[in-house]
Amino acid sequence: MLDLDKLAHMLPPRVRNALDAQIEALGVLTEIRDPRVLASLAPSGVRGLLLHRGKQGVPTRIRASHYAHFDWTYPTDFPEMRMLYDRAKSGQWDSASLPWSTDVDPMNPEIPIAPDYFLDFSALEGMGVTLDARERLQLSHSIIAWMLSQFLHGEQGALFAAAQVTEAVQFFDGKLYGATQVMDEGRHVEVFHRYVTEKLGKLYQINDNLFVIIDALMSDGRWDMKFLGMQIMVEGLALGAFGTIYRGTKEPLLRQLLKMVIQDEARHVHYGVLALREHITKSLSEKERCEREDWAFEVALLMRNRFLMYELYEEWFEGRITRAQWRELVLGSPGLREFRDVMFTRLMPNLREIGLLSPRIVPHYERAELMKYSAGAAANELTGEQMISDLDRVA
Amino acid sequence: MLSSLRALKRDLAAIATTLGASRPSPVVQTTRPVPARAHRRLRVASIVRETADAVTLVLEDPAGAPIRFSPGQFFTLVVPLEGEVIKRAYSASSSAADGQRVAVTIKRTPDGRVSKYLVEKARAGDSFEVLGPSGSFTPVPATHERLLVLVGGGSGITPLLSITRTLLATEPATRIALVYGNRAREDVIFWDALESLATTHGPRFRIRHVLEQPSAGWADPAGRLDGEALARELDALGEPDGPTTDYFLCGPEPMMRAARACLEGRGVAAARVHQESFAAAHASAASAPTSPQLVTVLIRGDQKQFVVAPPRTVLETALDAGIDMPFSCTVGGCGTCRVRLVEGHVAMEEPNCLTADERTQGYVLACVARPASPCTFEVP
Ligand SMILES: Cc1cc2nc3c(=O)[nH]c(=O)nc-3n(C[C@H](O)[C@H](O)[C@H](O)COP(=O)(O)OP(=O)(O)OC[C@H]3O[C@@H](n4cnc5c(N)ncnc54)[C@H](O)[C@@H]3O)c2cc1C
Ligand code: FES
Ligand SMILES: [Fe+2]
Ligand SMILES: [Fe+2]
Repeated sequence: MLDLDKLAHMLPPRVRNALDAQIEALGVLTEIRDPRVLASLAPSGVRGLLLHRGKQGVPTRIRASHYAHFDWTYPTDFPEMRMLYDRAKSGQWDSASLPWSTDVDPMNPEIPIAPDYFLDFSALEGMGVTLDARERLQLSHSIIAWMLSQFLHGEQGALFAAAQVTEAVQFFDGKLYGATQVMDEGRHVEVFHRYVTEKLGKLYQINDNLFVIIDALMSDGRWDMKFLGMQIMVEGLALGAFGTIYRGTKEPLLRQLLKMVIQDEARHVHYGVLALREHITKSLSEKERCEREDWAFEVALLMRNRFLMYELYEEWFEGRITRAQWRELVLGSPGLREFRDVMFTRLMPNLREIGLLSPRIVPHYERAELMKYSAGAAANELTGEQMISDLDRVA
Repeated sequence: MLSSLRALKRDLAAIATTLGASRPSPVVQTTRPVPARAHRRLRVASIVRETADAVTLVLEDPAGAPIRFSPGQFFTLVVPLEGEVIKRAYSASSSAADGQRVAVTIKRTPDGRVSKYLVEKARAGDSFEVLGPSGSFTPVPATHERLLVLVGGGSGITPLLSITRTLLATEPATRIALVYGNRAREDVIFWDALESLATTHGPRFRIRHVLEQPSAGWADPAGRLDGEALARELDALGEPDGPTTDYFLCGPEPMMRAARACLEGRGVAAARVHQESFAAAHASAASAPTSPQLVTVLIRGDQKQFVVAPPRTVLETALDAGIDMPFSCTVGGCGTCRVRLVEGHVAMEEPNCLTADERTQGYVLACVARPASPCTFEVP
């Protein structure tokens, strides 16, 4: 790595940046130690990181390979899921009831949409880039538009994954519940798309790393992997991200929008925990359980290290600072640190609850400094209202 | 086969970008943010009974979003009533400096459907779809010494009170004189509120009441607020007219006509006289078109076509078709939806806020216009 760095410095900046991107893409794959996990993620990694399938400007087709599970006897087989289904039905809300008439002005410094700590402007100055007040507002506008664009793309993934999971899951009560989640995710796509286009006016391409995760989930035939990926990992990530912005935004429409979405997502994660706890602790062999445990660990690292907003770098700073400097800037920003805190505070207790935090994996999480998050309440012990009041309390 | 070849080409091009070839912008799409002029739902936070015939509804956003307007502007309430959805304009009567709430004050009109319903049936906790704010009956903000003369009759006090409340609080150099005409003392909607403003702000705010049927002991002459009465009250105020004096009139049509004539007689330039008419547009069944018509709209260099079927208006149909036409009040009261009729005939609800000049130049209001033949409109 050191030698490569030295070599890189002798190259023209454009080539140096291209090389950095290559090394990074490779890094994602070589970081994965478990060969089975590598095998399940590598094809998606190639499609996302190398072929940039999400950025080719045409619709993406991903082949599904799961079985739809029918049951003609309609069993009542999971009372807790049945309860969740009832709660989900009464928890439906109309996207038209959000205060859409709110005037959202991304250039109004009095009502910042994003908390201003997602980039450290003084560190940026240290790299020789000084932005005036107006440029800072424009950059903040780009940052929030980038984040909400990624939420939107994530919701599209969630919509299709929820539909797949509804087909594949073997609990009949889970299928009924799943139908409400499909509706929820459709509504999330609608509200984020409307906010991004009507209020922010700027839609970004899907981030390559997010594409990899979605691609892997959609193409994996095993229903519990879809659950683990979507309901635990991606929804956990989403809850972290939504929570951070909910806490930091001063814009009333976005705040209300996120409040409603967070309460839906809390149900979704709860569902994931119920289904997987049952499945992982009762029907999987130890070998299969270990594979899930490793997979979750790798994806957790991917999520911790890899959402680096390179699309913003390309738009704003390419040619002014290097990709490596950008990475340093983003990883060091207080906003991203908070984002990681909220995300793993939600995620780790859930992994514990579903049985994917056994003593064999704990040292790995410890080395990644993630164990400290594992003590809190899991999603099945936590309602959406509690999550909102937690966030309100810290705010 | 061909499609997989194309897919391969795209993959190769994508790899090339990683190797440093130029790549498409990471921003897929930029859209023009939609200004906030669509419906919003506001909740009645509280109700104040002002007189036997008038109530004030204090409205707020259930999500706590701010409510902004300029003093003198009005909001359009959308009221579902007897299976119909009826829109009516009501001026803000509260201070625009509040930011969180707006009050509208409604006086029952004889046989008036919506006003009767709101005065008798509205309750705290009700919520309504609301459009706006709309209208340009609003003083230009100023920091210099100036006088505003407000002339109101009956429910026409509402925008004048909002102007008074707002400017007394925010413009220390503005003085306000109000001449307010009513039938009797018990019809005066904001008697106490006006008295207390006068007490608080002393010489900056003075009121002259004109009553048709005053009770015994009323010192001033009784009668309608006509031209003669206005001249008398202006003299009594002893405020000389000057180039920084502006006049704001709001009340029944005869009162405003008389006031304009009186001011003209006193040499006040027409540009310094502003007025708001509460006479709202009503569809007349006689002239309403009965068959669907093809409509073409020329907007920002683009041409769009759609069919307007009765009883829908040009504006309603255009918005449904996704065309971004400007509008605000949707009841013919603000002029935001003004378009030029290039070709064809329309029936418009009358009265509305178009001036005689605008009519001769071929302007119509899309929100109260229904095509009577194939039409082409140009959005300015
Ligand atoms: C810009 C604007 C601002 C307004 N602000 C206010 C306000 O602050 N407070 C308020 O109380 N009203 C206000 N109005 C009037 C209000 O919009 C309604 O027109 C009024 O409440 C009557 O509606 P309605 O449904 O009760 O009567 P309708 O059922 O529509 O009419 C009943 C009968 O009364 C007649 N009529 C209708 N309106 C009037 C009128 N204004 N005067 C005399 N006769 C009438 C009709 O021709 C009909 O014969 C405003 C109107 C406009 C255009
Ligand atoms: S929208 Fe106000 S007059 Fe048409
Ligand atoms: Fe969602
Ligand atoms: Fe979800």
